[in-house]
Amino acid sequence: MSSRRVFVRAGVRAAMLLAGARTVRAQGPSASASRALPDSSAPSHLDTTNLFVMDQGAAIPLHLPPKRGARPVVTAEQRDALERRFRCPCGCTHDIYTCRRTDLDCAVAPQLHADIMALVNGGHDEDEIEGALLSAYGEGLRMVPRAEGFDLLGWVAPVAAIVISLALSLRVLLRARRPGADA
Amino acid sequence: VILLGELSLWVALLTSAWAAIVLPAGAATGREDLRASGLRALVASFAMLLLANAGLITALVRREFAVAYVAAQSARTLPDPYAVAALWSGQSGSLLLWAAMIAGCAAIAARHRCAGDTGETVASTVLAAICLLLVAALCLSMNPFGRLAFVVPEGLGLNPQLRHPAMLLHPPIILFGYAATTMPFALALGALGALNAPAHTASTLRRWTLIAWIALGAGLLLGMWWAYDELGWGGVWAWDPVQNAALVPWLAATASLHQLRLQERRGRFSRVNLVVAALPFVLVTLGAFIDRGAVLPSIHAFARPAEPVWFGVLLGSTILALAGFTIAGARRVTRARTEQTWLDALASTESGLVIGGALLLATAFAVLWGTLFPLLSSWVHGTSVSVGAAYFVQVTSPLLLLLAAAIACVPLLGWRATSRATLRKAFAAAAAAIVVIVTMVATRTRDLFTLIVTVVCVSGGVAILLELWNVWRKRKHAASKLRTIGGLLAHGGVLLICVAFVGARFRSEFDAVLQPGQVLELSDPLGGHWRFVSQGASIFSRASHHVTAVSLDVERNGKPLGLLTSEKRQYLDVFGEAIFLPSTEVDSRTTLRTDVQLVLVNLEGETATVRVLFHPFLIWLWIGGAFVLIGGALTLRARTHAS
Repeated sequence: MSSRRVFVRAGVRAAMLLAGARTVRAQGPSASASRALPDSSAPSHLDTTNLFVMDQGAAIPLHLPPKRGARPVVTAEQRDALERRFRCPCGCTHDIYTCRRTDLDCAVAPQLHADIMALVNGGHDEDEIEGALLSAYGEGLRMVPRAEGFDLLGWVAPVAAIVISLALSLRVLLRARRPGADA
Repeated sequence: VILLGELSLWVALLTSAWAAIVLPAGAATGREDLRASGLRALVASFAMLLLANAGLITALVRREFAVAYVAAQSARTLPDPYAVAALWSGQSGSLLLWAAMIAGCAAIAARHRCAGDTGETVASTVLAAICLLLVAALCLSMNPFGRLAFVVPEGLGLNPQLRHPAMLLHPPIILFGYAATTMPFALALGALGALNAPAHTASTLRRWTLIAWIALGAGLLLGMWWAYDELGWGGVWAWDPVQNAALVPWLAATASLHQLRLQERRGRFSRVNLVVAALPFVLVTLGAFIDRGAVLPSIHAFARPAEPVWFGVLLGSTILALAGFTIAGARRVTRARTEQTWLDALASTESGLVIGGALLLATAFAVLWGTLFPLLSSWVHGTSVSVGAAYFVQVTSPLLLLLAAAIACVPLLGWRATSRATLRKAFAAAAAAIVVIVTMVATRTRDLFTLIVTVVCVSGGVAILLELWNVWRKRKHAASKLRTIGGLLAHGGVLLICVAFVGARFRSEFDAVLQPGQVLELSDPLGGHWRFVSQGASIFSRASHHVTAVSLDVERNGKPLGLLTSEKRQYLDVFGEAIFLPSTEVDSRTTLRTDVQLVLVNLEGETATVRVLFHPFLIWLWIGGAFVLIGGALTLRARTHAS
């Protein structure tokens, strides 16, 4: 019994020492260095959110001059569908259309929408707008993997999973069937 | 209070380390006193972590801004319930709560230990090791009691999107669900490692899996309501990595429930079932690695990611432990297996459980694959391919259809063999299907997916209702009756959720600019006629924010539905300075056919730009979700009743 007490006392003492040392470490150097800069482990007052921080400067200007005597050839529905095919580069994982219409404080999606509107009003068709977006932001802007190369695996693997799971379960059931069992 | 909380955390580190060391040592040396000491240490860890949580909550409510976590998450203008909720709004606070919940599970396991066989020791050691790792991460890397170099006069508080009633419930319920998955994991490893796993293992595993499944399901449903009610984007699910990280373990737990039911009923003790039972926690650790370590971007991620190494170690150890125990246990289980053939008929509940479990695992894999694919593609060819909602909808729609079809067959199947009595149900279901097809063809529904899902859901629903009526009248044994009704309700609930998913395909939205008194007339996708009359704008202040609002008087087919009011809010700090960007509060009305949502986009003078969204059959998502949870709860109740 006494050894347990000794152990507990030693443990508490060690915990207090560790806690104390940590407090001193957190207050000491930062306090002496500058009042304006908190230590790196603490949230600075520059924080403006306690959620995911969006990259509000992610928009890249799209350089595609308007066509001569331009008239829009893309309808509003086609434009919205196009915006749904590309993600917002702020990092939110939504497509441009959803991000700009959601209460997420994103400044990037409205900027992209304005750029796309400018291209639509400049007389560019869907393929040209898609090309302009991909050349500015890269292939990573697509919301779905392409059906070629390694990206094809993105589509094939789930189908394979369904087929394999059904085949395996069928095999298990057929092997487990008693001789003379009903179909 | 802060010192007490921090001390408790460090003591919890010592006690969980003690438990993790002496439990296996006791088993190896055969010293029962060491094992007993280890189990007591687990209970002590739980008590200490509870104290640490209490300490942090007190600091948050008292706005002790000397603590960095409190300064980042709480504020003087934050209402007290949200100050408490700030415990789980940040990285370290939520980890502290999660650790306490896991320690709670470990304490329950320690208190309810059975004879003291090897399986129990393995399970307790696994739980102690998980506790130790999380508490070590808290103490050494993410201490929620870390102090600021100076005391700030005001904290940041919660983002406007987090100031929602769901914030009080959704995160702790999800965290509890995650914590509860540790029990099946630990028990499954224990059973894999045991020479002779106790007969009640399947039953205990299923009870804990059911608890985790209910909690995760409730958390997911609350999260969907939150997303729908707060963001005004017209959806409930964004296929975000953090959302998927909660969905995948839930799907795996659902598969495990099916497999374990088969094991429980037919007495088959398969190591595959044990591996599937352990899977939800492995997937939870994978989710923690992705989300907490900010390995993948997510709108739900914390502003400050944790060191991924801690969660990498947790993930690596769980995978290694599962692989190790599976390989080690393989020979024993194979030797113990006596009966190779156990299936009396292919058309039986047993087959349904095997196929249902396999389909659920395939669905879990598909969602996980899509979630991880950006990471895989960036490793393989350097470009991170985005995988968004469009991909998940395409991939999961056929799986959903297959699952709905499987569910529709549930009431038609019987244990061991399907009797002729089920033919009546089959005929009724087929008749319902024909009626639906004729109606939909008559109303010119051209969407094939909608047609098929509706037929499956209606015919399945009819069969389930008939079976419910049957069970209610004929079954005498209370526990069996409760369990069957629970299962049928849960399956019926999923069919109702499928109806809501079909409705989402017909969602529509309209933007309009309205002056006070101006009338807006719209038709919803189901042909309902809506009339909105602008009541003008209002500007006023509440305790913590300025409000700009617009109200619309709503009628549907001439029937008044009251006022819809949408607000723009600008939150203020204690000095009256604006904090965060303005946020939007949406308003909605729910009917059995369609939900309508009003979003204030912009207000200039008296001119309001508003967005009106129609969601056909959305209410069936909440009703179906409630059925699923009630079904799960009844099944759990039946198990308690039976035991």
